[in-house]
Amino acid sequence: MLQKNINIASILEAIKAMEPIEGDVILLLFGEKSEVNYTDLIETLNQANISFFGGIFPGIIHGGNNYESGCIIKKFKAIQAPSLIKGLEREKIDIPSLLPLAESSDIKPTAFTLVDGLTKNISSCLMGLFHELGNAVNFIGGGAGSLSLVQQPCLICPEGVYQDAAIVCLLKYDVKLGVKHGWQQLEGPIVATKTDGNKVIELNWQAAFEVYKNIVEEDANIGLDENQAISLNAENFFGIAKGYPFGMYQEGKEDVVRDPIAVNERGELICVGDIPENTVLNVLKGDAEKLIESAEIAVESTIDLKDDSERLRHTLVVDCISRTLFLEDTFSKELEVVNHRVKSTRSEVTPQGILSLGEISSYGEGTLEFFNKTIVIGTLYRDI
Amino acid sequence: MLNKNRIIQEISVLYELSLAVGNSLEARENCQQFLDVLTRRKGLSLASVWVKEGSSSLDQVESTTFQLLYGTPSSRMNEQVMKSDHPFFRILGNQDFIIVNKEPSFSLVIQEKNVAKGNYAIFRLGKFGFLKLFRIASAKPFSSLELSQLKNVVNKFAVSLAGCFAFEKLQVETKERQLVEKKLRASNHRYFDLFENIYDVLLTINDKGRITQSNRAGRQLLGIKEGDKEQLFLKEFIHPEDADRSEQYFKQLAEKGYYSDYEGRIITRDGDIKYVQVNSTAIYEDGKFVGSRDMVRDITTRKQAELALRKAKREAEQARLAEQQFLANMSHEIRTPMNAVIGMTHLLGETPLDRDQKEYLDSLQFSANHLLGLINNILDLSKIEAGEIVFESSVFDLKEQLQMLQQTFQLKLTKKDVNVIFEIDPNVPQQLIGDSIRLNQILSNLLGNSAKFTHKGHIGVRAEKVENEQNDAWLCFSVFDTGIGIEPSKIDFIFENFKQANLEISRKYGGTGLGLSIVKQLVEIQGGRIEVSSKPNIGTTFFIYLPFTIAPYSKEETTLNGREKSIEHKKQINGTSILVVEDNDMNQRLIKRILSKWNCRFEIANNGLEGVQLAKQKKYDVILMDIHMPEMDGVEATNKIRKLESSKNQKTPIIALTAAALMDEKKKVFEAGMNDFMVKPFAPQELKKTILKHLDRFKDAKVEITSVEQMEISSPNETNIKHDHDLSYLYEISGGDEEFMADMIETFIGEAPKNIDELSSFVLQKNYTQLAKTAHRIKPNLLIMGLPSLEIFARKLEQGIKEGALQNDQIKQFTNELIHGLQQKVPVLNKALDHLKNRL
Repeated sequence: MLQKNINIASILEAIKAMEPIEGDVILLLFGEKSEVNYTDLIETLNQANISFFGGIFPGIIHGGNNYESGCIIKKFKAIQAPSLIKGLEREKIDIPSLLPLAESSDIKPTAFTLVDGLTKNISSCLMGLFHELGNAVNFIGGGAGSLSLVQQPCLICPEGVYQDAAIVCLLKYDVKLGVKHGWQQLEGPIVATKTDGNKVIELNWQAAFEVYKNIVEEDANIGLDENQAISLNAENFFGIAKGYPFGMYQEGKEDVVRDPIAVNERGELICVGDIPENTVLNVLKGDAEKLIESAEIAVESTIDLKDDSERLRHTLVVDCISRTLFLEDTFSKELEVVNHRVKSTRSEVTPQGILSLGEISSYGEGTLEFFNKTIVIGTLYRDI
Repeated sequence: MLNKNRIIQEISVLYELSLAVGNSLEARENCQQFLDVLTRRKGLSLASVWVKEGSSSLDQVESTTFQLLYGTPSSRMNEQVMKSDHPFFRILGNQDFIIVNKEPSFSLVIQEKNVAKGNYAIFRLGKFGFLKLFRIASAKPFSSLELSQLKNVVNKFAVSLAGCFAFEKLQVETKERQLVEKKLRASNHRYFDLFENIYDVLLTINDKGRITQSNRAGRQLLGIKEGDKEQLFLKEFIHPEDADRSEQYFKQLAEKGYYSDYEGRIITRDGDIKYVQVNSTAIYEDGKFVGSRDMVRDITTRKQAELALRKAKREAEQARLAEQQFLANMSHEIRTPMNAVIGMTHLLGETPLDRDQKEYLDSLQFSANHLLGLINNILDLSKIEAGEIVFESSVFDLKEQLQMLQQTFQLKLTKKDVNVIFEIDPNVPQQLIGDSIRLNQILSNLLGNSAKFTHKGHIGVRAEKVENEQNDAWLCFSVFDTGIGIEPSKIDFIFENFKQANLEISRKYGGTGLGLSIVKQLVEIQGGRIEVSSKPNIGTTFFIYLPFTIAPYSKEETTLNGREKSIEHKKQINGTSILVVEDNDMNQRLIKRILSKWNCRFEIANNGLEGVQLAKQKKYDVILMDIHMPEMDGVEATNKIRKLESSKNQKTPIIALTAAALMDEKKKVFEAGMNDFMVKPFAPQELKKTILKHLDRFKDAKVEITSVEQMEISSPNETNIKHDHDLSYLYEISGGDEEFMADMIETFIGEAPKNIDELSSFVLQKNYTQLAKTAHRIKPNLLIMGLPSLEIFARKLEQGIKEGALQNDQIKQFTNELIHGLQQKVPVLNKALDHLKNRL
């Protein structure tokens, strides 16, 4: 359910109304603008002996709408209490042993995974989870945090509010995943000849900004007079670069998108998510139509036509906040496409989710990637 | 046909992949980095690297077991080990890479969890492993083109992996080496600690003799400091007197490889002399001697102790020598007056005495004899203890020996109611080789005891053969008596020095307690043993077991150098023709007397000249030749007799008669061609033996053993020259013939004034040559007369003058002593002569 105006009491009341029993877990997704004392909330929920987890995001999705404040409250059947993974700022990350639990389940569980979207080493953490769980689970999730791109505690669990962390909860549902971004190759391949984590220092052995700037300006200034021509710089970078992300090549799949969000004084491009050195990149370009089409494709792949619609329990949407920034007014169209398709299958189910800082989705076949600028939809199925 | 963009794309990916290779020298990290990029870019579900067990280079192919080195995701890696007989390898065959997506092969290569349908691509990694990739069925299937593109990168990866293995091996080896080095350092430290702190000196010396290493003890010994960097050469520490030895030492060390227990001296930096014992081991490099490791021990203290001990021993030996010398001198000095005492007592006994006087005299006589016996025993004992006693090994006739002994004791015991019984078992060999004189001494001593302690019944000797081994025989002599016996509690002590059964015994019977001790030692030194069995008041038996060699021929045969061994009868001397060349009147008389007794035919020559004349005229069986004579001495005379063609006695045995037993004199005698040698005054029996030794003809008649001979033989004294028995010698050689004795004494007394006159004139004239001749002439006469104390002066004068060893004062002194002595003795002898004449 969605609570737009929230306080601790209302949340507790709403949860109690859901009558959670043993084996149930409550998912709490907050819009970053919500005015909640999370520490108090956690204490209250702990006192109420409620198993819960969640995060604070740039926005939340309910049906065809998105909100900057409020809370999505959902109850799931879970295999275990949520596992907190701390210390992502450090290179060495302790991944909890989850495989035995995952393998003990009669259905292939869905690992709902939330991560501090602005921490370091997200890739390592996801790689660790992938190695631990492989294809014993299906993954869905996304990055929490603030659109201000200022890192702050954003993950909620009984232990407290955390940054530099991740939470994994194995849910007892079958899932069908849809992952799509709709971004198309503009220029490439380019080699990221020098990188440092999420900073791209050189492209094709030249200063990264210069290379990127040339590609972007060339495309952006097509059909424009010289006096109208855009010159990419630090100030206008975010606004222009949101339309020109990087794509990391994957054989037989859409590129994994990396979103450049800023340029620093040294001309290094700051991205959401790591770009390993020597990665073959493409500069991508999007248009609203293609992006909305990709959402359509994504939701479609989550609908199991052969399955009994009665089993369809939830549709979770993890949509990149940058898509809202890029699509602007047309973003609601993307959500509506998804909402419509789900409702048409099972009207009682409203797609709910988050506007995220990075998206997670995998059937466990192949590396668990942290996507950018992508819409991830997971529809959960379960017998009554 | 691929479009250009596509090609560039793929090349770029290959570029990225190739750059992901070899970024770490750790094999698993290298795999992880490569497979990470590979799985991302190539959309792989699974990727794994397998290598042969123990792979550490591209060439290692021995192992048949492959192990999973790295797999992603790790949770899906199921099997970790694969044997080379796994169907997988049959499917892989010899190809560089294969695609497996169809049954039945597909199922056979699945080793991971949760694999449904899909495509495997398998690449060889050098000769040591393989790379296995998997894509799910929904993803793009592998194509040969794609794998061909990857092949070069994979090969590069294989090489990099081999590099990792080599590096790991190196690391392990380095670690092991470091560990070994650490242990070595610790060991070195321990060794150094031990080396440095051990009590013994340890040095390393190179082949130039330079000390290259020294521990603390070494530095202390040599007096050098730890930091002494100067060139330390061993040479500078070696005592100059040991330099040659130390050089030899090093030479031998280099040859033998080691040297043990060298002892020498060093001089320390401080100038101290120290004794050291050195044990060394040579150091060789490529077979070349390059130096030594030496363990040096400071033995100065021990050495000093040793030297002190040696000095003490030397001093003790000197002291002992002095003691022996003292004993010898003392015995001589005591015996001389003792002879006088005994002689005088004897003479006194011949004068009219009352009963009391007679008793006192008997007592005096007994005491004097006892004292003399004691002195003789002490001398014997000191000889035994000094290890100076030597046993003869000559043929003797045991029966003859025992008969003489029996007669002696019968004579002694005539006044007692005691019989003397001698029994010889028929099995006892008669001719034996051994020391008859010592046997006689042993038996006499024991019989003497028996005679002393037996008042009634009998004493005696029984000889039996105990054992016979080829030429050796063990004889047992039982000396028995029916005397007072020995208490059982005292038996154990009777053989100890100065021990008698009890004090009462010594009070009652006298004796020194040395006799049995001497007997026991004489027996044991010869390898025999002595036992005693005794019952108080019943009697005592001593059993003496002694080994003898059985003579293969008789005593006489031995002296004949084995000639005519078959002769069973005794050779005899009667009828032998003898030339006596002797200037000394007394000696002439003596020899005349002896030869007459033996029924020999003889002629007397008064000097060498006469002797040569007689020898020219007549053939003699034997010639007895004095050495020092006027006109012509014995040596020259012998020369002449031997060389003159007219001589009838070129080959006649010539026996020298001399008063001196000096070595050079003996030598001269033999050089001159004489056959034997006798020192004056001699025992008649000895003379007889010597004559018979040189006779080459024998007669049937058995040699009569006269009382003279018996008594002579029974005397325990070794040499005649030390005969001290005053007139007893004369008495003995004359066989108790008092007329002869008187004749001899008369002659001596008659010659005395002339001798005294000569002595005093020559000494005044300092005519020492003549003085020596006179001394020489009277010397044997003094002995015959039982005047050995005077004989000493005569001897000293003769020898000293000949050797030029005497000062005028000494010559004068000795001469005066001699003259004075003669003047004193003559009246005594006169008295004895009167006494004899009165009895005749």
